[in-house]
Amino acid sequence: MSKTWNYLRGYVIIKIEGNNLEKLINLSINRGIDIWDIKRADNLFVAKIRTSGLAKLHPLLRKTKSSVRILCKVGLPFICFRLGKRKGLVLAGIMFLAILYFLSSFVWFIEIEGNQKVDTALIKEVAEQNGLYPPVWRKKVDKQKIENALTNKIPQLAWVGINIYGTKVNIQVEEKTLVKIEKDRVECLVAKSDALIKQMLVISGQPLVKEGDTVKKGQILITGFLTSEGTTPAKGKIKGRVWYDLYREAYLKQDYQVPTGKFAKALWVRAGDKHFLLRGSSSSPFAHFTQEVKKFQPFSQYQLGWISVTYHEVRKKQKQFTLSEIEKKLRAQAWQSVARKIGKGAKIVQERIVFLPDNSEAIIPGLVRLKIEIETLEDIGRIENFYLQENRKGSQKK
Amino acid sequence: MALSAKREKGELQRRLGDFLDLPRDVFLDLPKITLLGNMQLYIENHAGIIEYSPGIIRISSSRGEIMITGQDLFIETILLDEISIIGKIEGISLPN
Repeated sequence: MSKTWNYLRGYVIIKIEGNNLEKLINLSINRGIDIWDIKRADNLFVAKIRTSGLAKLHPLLRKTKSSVRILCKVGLPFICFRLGKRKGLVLAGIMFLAILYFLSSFVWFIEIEGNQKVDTALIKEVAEQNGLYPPVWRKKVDKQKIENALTNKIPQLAWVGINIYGTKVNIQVEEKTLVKIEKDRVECLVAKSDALIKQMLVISGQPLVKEGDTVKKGQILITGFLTSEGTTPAKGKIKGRVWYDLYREAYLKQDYQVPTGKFAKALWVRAGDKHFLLRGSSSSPFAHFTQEVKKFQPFSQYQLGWISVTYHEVRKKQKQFTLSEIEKKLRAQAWQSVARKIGKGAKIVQERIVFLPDNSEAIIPGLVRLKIEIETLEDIGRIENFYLQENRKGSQKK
Repeated sequence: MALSAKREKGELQRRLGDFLDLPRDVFLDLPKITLLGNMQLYIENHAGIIEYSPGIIRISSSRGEIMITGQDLFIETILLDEISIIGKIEGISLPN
């Protein structure tokens, strides 16, 4: 801190020669001369002193018969003095700052954000007509006026906000989301799947089927219709019998694999379409094995990466299942696959399991073939939109 | 005679100072020496320098002469009652 202060005030480095320098120091501190960093060598010393102190030092020099020489002038006042001699440079610096300040009071950049459908050029043009164009003096930009003009002239804009950040103007816009008005849309109830209709409850709309009918998937069950006031949507609840037929087969004797615990690893480097083996063997050292492949592609855009392959040795075993075990297994598989297809709230009416004969010549012995029929009672209706076309009777799916 | 009178005066001052519980450096005008490791030395209440060279600095005080020996010694600041010396300080000898 004191060093900074010294620099700001300025000081000179002096060399004093003489025989009684201790006396000189004592005298100068008694006169209140600020002197520091005194370095001694034989009959001279080098010290730092203020310019004001230098004048006070002169009478003392005569008294102690010493001589002084200025070695160096340090500090801001001297720099200012030197700069004062080079007026052109100082003037240029001041001019530069003045021009920079002058130019920074203009708007140079316009940034438009938030528009998706409205053309940026259009927003720019409207802004320009209302006095926002580069370069315009910042104080002359009337934010309120431009915001109003933009929302009035471009109807797609719901809101416009203008912010001035230094030399940049940011125009934030929010577009209106237009809701499509659908006049000619009719809601109909169609069949989700092939079914036999058991129960019907029509709330609104015109039914096209009756109880006991079989319907195909996608067939219209209840149709909505147009009235003079608008459209009447189809509403109702239709329950029907739905059949799910499934077929599953399995061998009584089944192979399965038991890992032995032995494994081998290999590491490949991949570059483009080429693979290089880095470590391990290129093929499995085991006769029976399963392999686990992991790909690492940290630089996928360069098609570079490495692949780690792990071979696990397995032992093959065979197991003889009983017929009921196979049946249980196949049934579980069938239910799993059908579970997603059956609608919510469906009631399972019947489940039939049929063993298909395996004594046919074409069939491999030991193969169990199972047909599973699941019959449910469920809601088969689904709302679908149909768009009526002009001058045509009936409905057309869009 | 003069010496013993001075000594008596000093003794009286010391007793008065003790009685009033005042810090001694203020009351007795003693030099206060602060040493920072072996690299910096402050002396307050000095009475000027007697000898100054990079190897030895002698400073006078109210109680006599303080001698500092060392290497590359130099005076960093010197004011009317305060002096700061920087360098490798090896020894300080104080007045009896």
